[in-house]
Parts: sequence; structure tokens; C-alpha cells
Amino acid sequence: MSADLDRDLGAWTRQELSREQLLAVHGTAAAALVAVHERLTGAAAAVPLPNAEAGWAALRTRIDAPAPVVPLHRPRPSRILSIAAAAALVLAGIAYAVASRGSHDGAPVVSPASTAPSAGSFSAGVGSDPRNVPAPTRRTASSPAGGGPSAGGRSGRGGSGGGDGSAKPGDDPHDRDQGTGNDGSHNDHGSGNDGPEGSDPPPSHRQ
Amino acid sequence: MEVSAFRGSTPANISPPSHDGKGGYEPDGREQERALVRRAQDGDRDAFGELYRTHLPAVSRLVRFRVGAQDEDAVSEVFLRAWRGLGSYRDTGVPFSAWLYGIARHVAIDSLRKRGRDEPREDLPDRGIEPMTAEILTLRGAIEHLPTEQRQVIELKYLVGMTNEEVAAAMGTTPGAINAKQWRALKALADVLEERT
Repeated sequence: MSADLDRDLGAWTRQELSREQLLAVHGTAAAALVAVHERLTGAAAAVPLPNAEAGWAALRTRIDAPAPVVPLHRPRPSRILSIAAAAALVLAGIAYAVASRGSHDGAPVVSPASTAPSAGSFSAGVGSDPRNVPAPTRRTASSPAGGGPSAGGRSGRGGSGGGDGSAKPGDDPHDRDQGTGNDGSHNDHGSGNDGPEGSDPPPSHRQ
Repeated sequence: MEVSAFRGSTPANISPPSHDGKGGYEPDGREQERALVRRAQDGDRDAFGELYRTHLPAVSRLVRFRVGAQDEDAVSEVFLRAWRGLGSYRDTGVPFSAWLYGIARHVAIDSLRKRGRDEPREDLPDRGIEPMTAEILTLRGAIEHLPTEQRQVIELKYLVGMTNEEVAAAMGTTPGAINAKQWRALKALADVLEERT
């Protein structure tokens, strides 16, 4: 469509240009558009309009009525089951924790992080040979030294497990050697070396 | 009262020409409507009643074309939702009628879904309060084939009765672009109508 036709059609709808003038200038190109325009105008005008006052009176009644309260979430059986299962798991966890604490009879409990070291932290002391990985055992800080991961680590390349596991007078108060008795604040997960965490033990500790 | 978007039962601001001769932009009418909207937002039911009377013809035409039948419940629902949603309306320069148009589209869709559940679609034309004319059915079917933008221009111009300036404000473009879009939409509509005959 040309810009001239656009402009003249606009002028025609604003009654600045007569229908005859428009068709004379643009011919059939304008005729089809004029026909559709007039059909739409006629159809829109033919739509019967509701009685405004009656409609407003009816609407006013609905407006004055309190809006219906629609619950945002309707409880569903699956949701209830999920919530119940989650609650049961939480309760079971709490009960287990209480029972575990009671069974140690007041002894300080080592945090799960130290009682169940990851495979990665074990490998730091025993090298990459999976056969050297000792089985993790539960124990508390007051349990006899020497047991647990460090004991198993003795059979490995780097798992000599230095020290007898008892606390020495010079031990770092933040010692986390898990009973192996070495000094320093690093965590050797029982392998007994005194270097940074994850390093091999000194040659003297190797078998 | 004269409100720019709607002029009683005269659709499409096609005639008579506006007093500024450029498409009927009436700042006084817009300001009056803004005042009514503000009063209605403050809970003034009478002000909303004025808005209802002003916009009823356009909403009725739009619902009639969209739903395919006279549906006074749907028309009433448009205004009820408008009343309940007035708090969210912000005057950003877009005409109030454009906001109503958006509500009417959604109500029409909901009405069609409900009718589709309740009765077969092919029964719709004969089941309205007023018998659907063949002309409106034909035009409605052809408009449904237009791209969204062209369909909006046709509906806002011919059914809602907006001026080019108001449609431009609603669609974020210029009045000149709306003029061109309108005629392109009519050309497309003419092609669809010719194919279907």
C-alpha cells in the first residue's frame, strides 16, 4: 500500500475527503478497503446495546456484595501425604539424635563430621590405594586413643598414625587429630602426620 | 460528558470528525475521565457508574465480537473485574479504555471456555440472547485469522472506538503508524474475506 493511499484513507475517515474523490484517485485499491471499513463500521453499529441503567443496577448489587473468598491453595491428598512423610522423617531424626546422646551417658559427642569422615579425607592419609582405606568407626573424644581411622591407617603407605592417641601437655588446644596425639591444629583424620591437612606423614611415621 | 475513547453508540470514531480535525484527541474528555477514575479508585461507586455508562457500548461490542453472542453476564463481569482491579490501575498515559479492553479480552476467553465446556461450539451462534447476524459471524471469523497486532488495531479502532492517538498510546507507537497499520489490517482482512467467499 502506498503512503498516498494511507494518507487519503485517513482523510476520508475524517471526512476531509469524499468517498468519490478517494475512489477516483485510487480506484480499486481503495475500493476494497472502503468496503471492508464500511462493513466493520456497520456491523459494530448493529450490535444491540444493553440497557445501561438496568445493567448498572445489577452491577451495583454485585459490587456491593463482598467479594468471594477463593482459597489460593486447596489442600490435596498428595500434599498432605508429603507433609506427613517429611514430618515423620524429621521426628525420626530427632528421636535418633536424642537416643544417641542418651546412650553415651553424658560423654561429649564428636560431631558427625569427625565420626564419619569422607572418603576424600581418608585418602589424604592413606594415599590413593582404596585397599588402605580403613572402615570408619564411631567413637567419641573420650574413647581410647588409637582406634578408628588412624589405627587402620597404619597399614597404609602414609597411615602410620603417629602418637599414642592420648593428649599431650603441649598439644594445641584446637587439636583435631582425633586421638592420634600429634601436635598442631590441622586435621589429619588420624593418619598422624604433622604437616598440613592432606599431606603425607613424615618418613619417620611411615612403616 | 464527552470521553475520548467512546462516543455513545457511535463506533470507531469514524464520524463525525473530531473538532480538532486530526482524529478526535480530546484532552478535556481525558481529564474528566481521569478524575472519574481517581474518584472510583477511592471507592466512589457513582463515579464508577459514570465510567460504566460511558464504556458500556464499547465493551458490549467487543464482547459480542469476541464471544460471538450477546453475553450480558460477560459484559457485567468485565466491569466487575475492573472495579475489583481498580487499585492496580495506573494512569501512565494509556487510555482507561485500553485497560478495560485487556480485561474484556480475558473475560471473553473465559466465557468461550465456559461455553465450550457447557455446549458444543457450533451451537453458539443460535444460543445467544440476540440472534447473531451472519455479517458479524463472517467478520468475526475473518478477524480471528489476522495477526495479533492487526487484530488489536481493528478491535481498538472499530469496536472500542479509539482514536489513532489513543491506539498509539495503548500500543506504544505513533498515530501515523497506527493509521498505516489500520489500512494494512483492513487489506489483510479484505484478503481473508475474499478467500473465504
